[in-house]
Amino acid sequence: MTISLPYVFSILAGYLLVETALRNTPKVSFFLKLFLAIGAGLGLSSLITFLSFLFCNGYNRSFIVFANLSCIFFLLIINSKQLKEVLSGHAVRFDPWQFFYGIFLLLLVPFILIRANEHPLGEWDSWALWNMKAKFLTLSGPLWQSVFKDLHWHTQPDYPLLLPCMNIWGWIFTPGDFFSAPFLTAALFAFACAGLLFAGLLQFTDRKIAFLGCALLFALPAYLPLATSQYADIVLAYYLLAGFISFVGAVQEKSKGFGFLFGFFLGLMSFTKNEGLTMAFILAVLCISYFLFEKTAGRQANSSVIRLIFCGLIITLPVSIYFKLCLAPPNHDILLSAAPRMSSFFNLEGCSIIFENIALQLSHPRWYHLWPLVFCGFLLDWRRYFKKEIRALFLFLILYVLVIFFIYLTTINFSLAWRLSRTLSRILFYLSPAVIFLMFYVYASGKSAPEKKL
Amino acid sequence: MKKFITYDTLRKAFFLVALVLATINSFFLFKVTSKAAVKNKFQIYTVAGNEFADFKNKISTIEHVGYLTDKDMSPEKNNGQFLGAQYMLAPVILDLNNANHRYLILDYTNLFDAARKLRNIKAKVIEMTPDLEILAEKLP
Repeated sequence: MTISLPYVFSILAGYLLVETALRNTPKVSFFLKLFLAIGAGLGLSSLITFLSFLFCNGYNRSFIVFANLSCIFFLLIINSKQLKEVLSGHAVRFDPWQFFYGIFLLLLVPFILIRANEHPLGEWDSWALWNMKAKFLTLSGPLWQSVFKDLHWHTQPDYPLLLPCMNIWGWIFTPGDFFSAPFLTAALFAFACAGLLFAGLLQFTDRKIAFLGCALLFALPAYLPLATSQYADIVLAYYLLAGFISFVGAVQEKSKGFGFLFGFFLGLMSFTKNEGLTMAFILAVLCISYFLFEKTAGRQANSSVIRLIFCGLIITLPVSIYFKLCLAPPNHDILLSAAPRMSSFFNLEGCSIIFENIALQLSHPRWYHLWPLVFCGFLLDWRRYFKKEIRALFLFLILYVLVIFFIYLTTINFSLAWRLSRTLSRILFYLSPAVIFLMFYVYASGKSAPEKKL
Repeated sequence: MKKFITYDTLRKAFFLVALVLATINSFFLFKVTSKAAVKNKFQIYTVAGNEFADFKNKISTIEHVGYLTDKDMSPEKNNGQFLGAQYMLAPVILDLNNANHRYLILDYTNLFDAARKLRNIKAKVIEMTPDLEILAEKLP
């Protein structure tokens, strides 16, 4: 039970944060708030943990606990009025469908726990990178910055620390147990990602599509093994999906609160992996441009949303920027500092290897025809992918794929074919929840008047 | 025929195909998970780098330890021993193929090469694991 305590605190903090942000946005379902809260809360706790390393020059258990509890206390004070209403029963409405949704979502849990128990200690990158860094940071005392300088480059010292800091927070009350927290973090994000897809589709499309979308993602042969492998990919998948949903919420509900959450999740995404930084940048530029040039909602409304996006970014992004500028060494895997021509793969042969591997991966049994279905969905409504807010999200996917292509072409220190075989499936994995959301969101917008059931 | 293939028909077909895919996947998910539930009861899991666990107490206060090996350490072909050792022995920092440390771990493919290396660098064996990993200390 003690191991679950940090997660309970984080989800509580996350829920209070989401409630604060969405206070003036009516008709947001409880489940959407809950699943947004899981990532928001754990991300917040992770950032607080990382900041404590900077302030205390090393691992300081008391300070981390104090800082997290102070954050919860502060959020409780802000939400005191709403809490009084909830406790007195005024704000609660019972809906039988909510009960049914709850049962459906709880049914996912045994599958996650059983599949997570197939590899309770994680896979290669979990013990070689993420869990090793978390253990190192916990035990190294004032020499914690050696994790960036002295460890072998195979441990990727330039990788951001959101997941390791989450795991450090996870084992804060169980010192010496370095296994349960990473297991729980992975299982929780596997649940949260599927649940968030369900809740997001429920909010912006209809009940049937929500069940279908969630089942399509959750039952993918690739989903549970990769989600529970204790890698940062499931965390990245979650924050990308949360970013998509928050952006759609900001547009559909004309909500500054969703704009704040969009900025908040982008900042967390940038501290998850190096790819997250790239994604956050592209998504921020495209989505803020959307609000700058979009005319139907009104200039003032759009300016308010942009301001709140920056408010969300200001809370989370500076940590990433500080990490990259002041702590992390340069990345060894790609050649950006010298001319790309110096990479032996920056040629037609490299392009051919990449295309071949992409084709192999898209048709792999682990995806079970998902990508041909996505392609059919695109063909069915291709015009809609270039209209309104959908254009921003679609362009993001195109640009990101092009960036990944370029990064592969500038590969050094590895065989390109080997690198593709190891990483391409994971790239598709962390894109798949957001792609499924977008596919069904566009599909639902094809109806004349989508039925919203919450 | 033309009237049959309308936009609405295509939408329904798309939804139906997605539903069939999700249903088939769900069936296989249930099947695979049931097998995993049984298999998990008999599975024994070893922590990465467990073979180096015996060295922990002896080098826990040391900041840097050399890790000498004759194995292929390229990203594509390495067997994970070095990274496993790093995980197990953290926060001790393992310095790959650098013999300029007082304490050294030797992970060689055979004992003869390990012994030859020990003679060259003038180090003595402190401990050896059943898997033939050696913890050595350089003589002053």
